Amino acid sequence: MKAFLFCILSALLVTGCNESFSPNGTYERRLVVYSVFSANTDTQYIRITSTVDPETYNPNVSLPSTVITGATVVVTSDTLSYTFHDTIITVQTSAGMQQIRTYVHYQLPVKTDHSYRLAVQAAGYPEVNTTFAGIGNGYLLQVNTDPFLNSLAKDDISFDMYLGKNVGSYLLLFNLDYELLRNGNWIRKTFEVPTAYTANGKYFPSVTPAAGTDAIRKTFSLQTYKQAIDEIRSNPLDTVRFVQAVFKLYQFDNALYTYFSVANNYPGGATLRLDEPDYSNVSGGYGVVGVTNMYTRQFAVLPYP
Amino acid sequence: MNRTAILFVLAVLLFVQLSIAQKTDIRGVVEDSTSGEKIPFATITVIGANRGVGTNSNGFYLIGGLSWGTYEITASSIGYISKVVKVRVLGKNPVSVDFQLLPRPVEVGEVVVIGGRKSELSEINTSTHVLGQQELQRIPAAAQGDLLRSLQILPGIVSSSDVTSKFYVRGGAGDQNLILFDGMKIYNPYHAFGIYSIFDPDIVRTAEVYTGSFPAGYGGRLSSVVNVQSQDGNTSGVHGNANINFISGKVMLEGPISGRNSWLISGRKSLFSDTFNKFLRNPPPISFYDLIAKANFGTEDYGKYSGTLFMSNDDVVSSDAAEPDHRWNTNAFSFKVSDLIQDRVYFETVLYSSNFSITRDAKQSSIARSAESSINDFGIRTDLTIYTESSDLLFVGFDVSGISYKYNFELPSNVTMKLDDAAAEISAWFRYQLNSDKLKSDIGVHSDILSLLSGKDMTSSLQPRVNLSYRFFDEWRFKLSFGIFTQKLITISNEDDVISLFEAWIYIPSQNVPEKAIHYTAGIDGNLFAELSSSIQAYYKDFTSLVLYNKNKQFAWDPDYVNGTGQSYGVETLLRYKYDFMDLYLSYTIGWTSVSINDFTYAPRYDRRHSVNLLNITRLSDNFDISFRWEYGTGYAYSQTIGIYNRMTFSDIGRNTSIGEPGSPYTILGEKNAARLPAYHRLDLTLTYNVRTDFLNGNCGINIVNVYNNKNILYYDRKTLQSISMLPFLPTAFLKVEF
Repeated sequence: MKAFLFCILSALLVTGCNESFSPNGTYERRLVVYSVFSANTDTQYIRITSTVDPETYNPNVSLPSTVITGATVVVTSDTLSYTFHDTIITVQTSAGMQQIRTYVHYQLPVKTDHSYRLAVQAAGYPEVNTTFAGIGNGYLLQVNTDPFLNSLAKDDISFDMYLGKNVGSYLLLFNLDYELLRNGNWIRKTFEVPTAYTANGKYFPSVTPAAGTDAIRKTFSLQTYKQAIDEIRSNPLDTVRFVQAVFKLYQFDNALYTYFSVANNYPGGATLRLDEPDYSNVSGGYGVVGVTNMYTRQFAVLPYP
Repeated sequence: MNRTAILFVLAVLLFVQLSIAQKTDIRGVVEDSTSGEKIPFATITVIGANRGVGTNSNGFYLIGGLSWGTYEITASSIGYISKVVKVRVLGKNPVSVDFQLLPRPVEVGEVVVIGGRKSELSEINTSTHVLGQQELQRIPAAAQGDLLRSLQILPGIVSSSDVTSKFYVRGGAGDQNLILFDGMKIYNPYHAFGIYSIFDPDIVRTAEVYTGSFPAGYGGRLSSVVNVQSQDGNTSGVHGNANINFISGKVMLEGPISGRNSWLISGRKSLFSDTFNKFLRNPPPISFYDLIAKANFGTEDYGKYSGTLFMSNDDVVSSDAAEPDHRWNTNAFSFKVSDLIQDRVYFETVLYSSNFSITRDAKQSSIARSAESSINDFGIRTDLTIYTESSDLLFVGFDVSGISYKYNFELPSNVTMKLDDAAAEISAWFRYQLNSDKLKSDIGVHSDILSLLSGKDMTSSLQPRVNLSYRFFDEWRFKLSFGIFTQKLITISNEDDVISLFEAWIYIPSQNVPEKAIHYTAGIDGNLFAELSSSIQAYYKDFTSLVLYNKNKQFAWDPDYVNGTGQSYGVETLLRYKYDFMDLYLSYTIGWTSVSINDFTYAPRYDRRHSVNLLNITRLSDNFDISFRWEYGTGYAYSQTIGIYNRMTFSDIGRNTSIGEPGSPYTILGEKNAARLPAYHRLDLTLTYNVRTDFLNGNCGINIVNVYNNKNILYYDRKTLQSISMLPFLPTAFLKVEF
């Protein structure tokens, strides 16, 4: 019996050596492409980076710069071809003004209903490509904007909104441009008017899925508008003058909206999901290439007494 | 529907009355002679008449229609000395024969662990195990014995890790197990980190475990049933025991009230949460307790009234504001009435209520979100057992319950979403159990009455359950079983989580159809030699409907879950060698599990190819036991990390220039669950010194977990790259005193 137990224990000790474990599979370098093509300008930017080998990943430091330089970045449409160039630009980010490396083309108009194909080739990486199409123009038809000019107006501000073709989602922002007197100079400021003031705080417009091209009545509460004005003028020491009300209608294509939805945990609804899914329309790589189109409408605003 | 049911019951009762007019029955109860505790699943045999029956969960038996004469009747049960009585059967009135069995003295007793208990249940059903308290207490365990961890030595049952007593049965998910405790449905039977379940083996009288094809009468889950009955309490005197170890302490007291009435109270509380520091990375302070109180009243004949109150509570509260706090508790009670209401009709009804609630306070955590969930279940279950002149049994019953749940959770936008719903569940069933010499069968139908009335899928509404057993070569049995099962309640958790403290029960979303599985099992049991018994079973489970993540979800309006399918199949083998001073138990399971959704098939997290359990208990002397348990399991499925990139979210698109945002690291996973974790293996050793005097019994000893310190992977945090191992080499000591 003792011998039997000894044999078993010996066998177990031999098998007891620890296997090394790494959760990482075979790393395949892939390109990550981000671009939001704008229908409002001919200057387009594309950011191209690389994935990182998980074996080199250190969670305590930022991911190393993986910017890809020297890549061949070409957009084609019909018979035209647009080759992007590697450059450095300065942009405003949430962390302030930043210099970023990007690919740029200064003469690429994104036209409604036109199809485009983006292809990126970089040494050591599989080629990636994607297609996208220009989205139609949207616009706002005013129904009631009296409160901007008449402090005694009693009706809410409202518009009929029309979305363009191929639009996946939109965002309609209502900003108030005003100026503050500081040391004898008028300083320009912008204030985003919320959709509501509540006991829990302010609510702002969010990206909303598009539902066809028919007119959509958009209403902004007069009371909320007045509360926004009160908030701007809440500091009695400030001298304020209002300049204009600006409505910005951003439209996004389906790919960009899908990416936005997945990467932001399905906003606009209650999900029970606990995992972290991903989405990309970049074949052979990651990231997203989308299209936006912005429409702006301004109204002069009389200062409230 | 009501009229049909009434006519059916009347017809059955009339049949019973007519059939017993010319016969005499023997009936009685079997109980422990020292404690008065009823002995379930004892075997009653009429020598020479080729008749035998088993006692029910209340120790009651009835042998119908014995011809007049004198018989020798034997009562036997594992752990007791068999008893033979001579009975004269004469006249119209049933003859009462009660048995008081004397526990087998340990000094001369055999060592018996799981597999020793034979019962009608395990004789007929393919996938049934019946465990008594003695068996549960002898299974080696870390620090303190535990019911649900002990079950994991059974073939077909696997655990997700050392530090959880959660289990998966034959490829089923963790929420597909129905757990009943004195008739109460227990929705979360686990203490913090699952190292203990809430069931203390010292208060368990029996646990019936069905790993598949469970009979009519059990429903609402796809994979398994664990039906736990607590002890009634000692009717002969006040007794108790106390136990302390490196994690918890407990006290159990029991005693008589008067006559056949008794009480039992047991409490357990965590004492040394620092022990968790040995194997968990910076664990938050853990505190838990559980409490059971039971009162039992017996009538002069076979009537019995018992009430059970059960409470358990867990707090995992961190002083670190960035670490979320978790609190959960279960409060449940049941009131049970049982009696022989007609000569051959045994009645049992249980009024039960169960509440489980859990909260997660995110505090200042940047990852976790606050959430709270609760489920309430209140119902009544009634079972009628109708005995016949042969040994056949007819079971009919119903269960009516009202279930309500709440699930409030915070979205990333800090908006709190509230889900709540309530529903009634009504089920009814009948089973006919044929007990002939060679052929035994248990055939029945379990009906979901509300689905039946709605006229939907009939195979889901009327679920056939079939178990067949045929004896050959005296000691061998060939078994077949088949059954259809459905499930409407599921838990919300991330399938990729290894330790998931927060789980919310919800009804399957209305756009999904209930989960459904069809079980097929075939097996052979028998004795190769007098000391060596064996069992081999093959199973196939067809999950014709499973509720799975919708991998194509892109927008808020897309459903979170969609219906998929799955299958699991495998073979389980069991060998048990039993000798005077030693019991050796070996089980091996090979299995495959896969689930499919939209033509994409993958192995679920808990798919394990090979499982081995080797268990040995050796009595070295009258006072000294040594036992070991070795577990081996091939690695579970997981998804590999194949890259990382800075992912932009465009969360502020329109307001800020997104092109310049840096993004945050996002882990790219390879094909879902295509890789395997390293194999798991662990050896535990227990040395026990038993002390028995006229005044005091007890034992003390040491337990060594993971003797050769194998580093089994518990969890790998992809974000922090921290690898956490399961229990390392961990010696503990224990002391148990009985008085």
